[in-house]
Amino acid sequence: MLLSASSIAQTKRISLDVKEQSFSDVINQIEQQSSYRVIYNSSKIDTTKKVTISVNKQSLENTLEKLLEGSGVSYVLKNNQILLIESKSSSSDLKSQQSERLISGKVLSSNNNFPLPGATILIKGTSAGAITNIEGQFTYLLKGNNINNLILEVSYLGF
Amino acid sequence: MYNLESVSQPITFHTLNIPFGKTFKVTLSDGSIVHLNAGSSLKYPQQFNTTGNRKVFLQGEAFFKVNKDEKRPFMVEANDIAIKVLGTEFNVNTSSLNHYADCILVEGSVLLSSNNGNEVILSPNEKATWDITSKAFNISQINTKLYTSWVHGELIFEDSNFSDISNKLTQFYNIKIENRNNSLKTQKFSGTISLKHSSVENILDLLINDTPFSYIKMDDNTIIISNNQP
Repeated sequence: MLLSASSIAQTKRISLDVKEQSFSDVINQIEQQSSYRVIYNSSKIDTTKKVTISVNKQSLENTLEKLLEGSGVSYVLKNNQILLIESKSSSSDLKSQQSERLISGKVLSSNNNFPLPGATILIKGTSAGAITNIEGQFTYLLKGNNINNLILEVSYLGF
Repeated sequence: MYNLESVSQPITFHTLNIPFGKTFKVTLSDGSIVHLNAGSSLKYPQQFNTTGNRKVFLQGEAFFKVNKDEKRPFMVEANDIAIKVLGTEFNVNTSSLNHYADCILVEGSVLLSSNNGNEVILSPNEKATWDITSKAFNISQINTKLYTSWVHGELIFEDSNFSDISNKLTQFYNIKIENRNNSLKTQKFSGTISLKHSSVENILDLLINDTPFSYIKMDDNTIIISNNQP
């Protein structure tokens, strides 16, 4: 039963048939048809420009890809919340996505698996990094063109 | 259906105090509905009198959906102002710290009066702000959705500073946010946040993709936002 309920939620489809309407109108229509909500930096994303789009019972991902194609805008989706961002370069989407990656994780003590607050996670060879919170968790945005080859160093000073 | 009270009966008042991180909906004895925002408090009678005003007292913010009763006007007393209505939908926001008060009218008509005798009648899609220094009401045209979306568990922003968004998140998620990132301070955002589907961390994890920063959550429920490179 649980499985079927979640598959229904996932197959929530979006249909649009708009001609020369503003980008913000289209966003409103997507929000009305789904539980997704959209935010964006108002000085970077122009939502007044007119768009024409027609999709029939498409997934959110397909709908957004079609809507944003060639617009210089891309999106990040997390827990039903969408952020619109400027593509670094609309012709090399893949490359720009690779230059940033949000990492997160949890640091546990090796002898009893307890979360370690205040542990330091550093990018090897630099002083950049993050510190874990009370639950031993950290998040950090890696930036650069060599993300795949970065090494993280975790250290912790016990009592 | 029932009309038990008599005019002479002493009125018993209830007071609702809503903590930060919570909102609450209460139905009054006349069927009027009040949505109370986080950190607000409402004093109201268990039963309204059969004659005279239906009077309640507000600190903080509330959205009122008042049932029509022309014989018994509905009154909200909030800080230095009083709001009198017959039957309508409106939002009231006050702060006792700086004697701030405003009223947003969704439909119908309301009469606002101040404790120094100023009066103003508000039309739908108007906002009246009580100015403590000039002791007068300022009226402006507004989009009511921006002020009432919290009733439906959403926050709508229109070209809002990050600090405004941060203040709202503080109120709704009962968390402290300390922003030490100057670049983020100057950014402005628009759009909608669903309070029940999202979280402060979720919003921050997304905004990092727009304006790079790093954040940590301290054990006292404070989130500290700093520059990306220490």
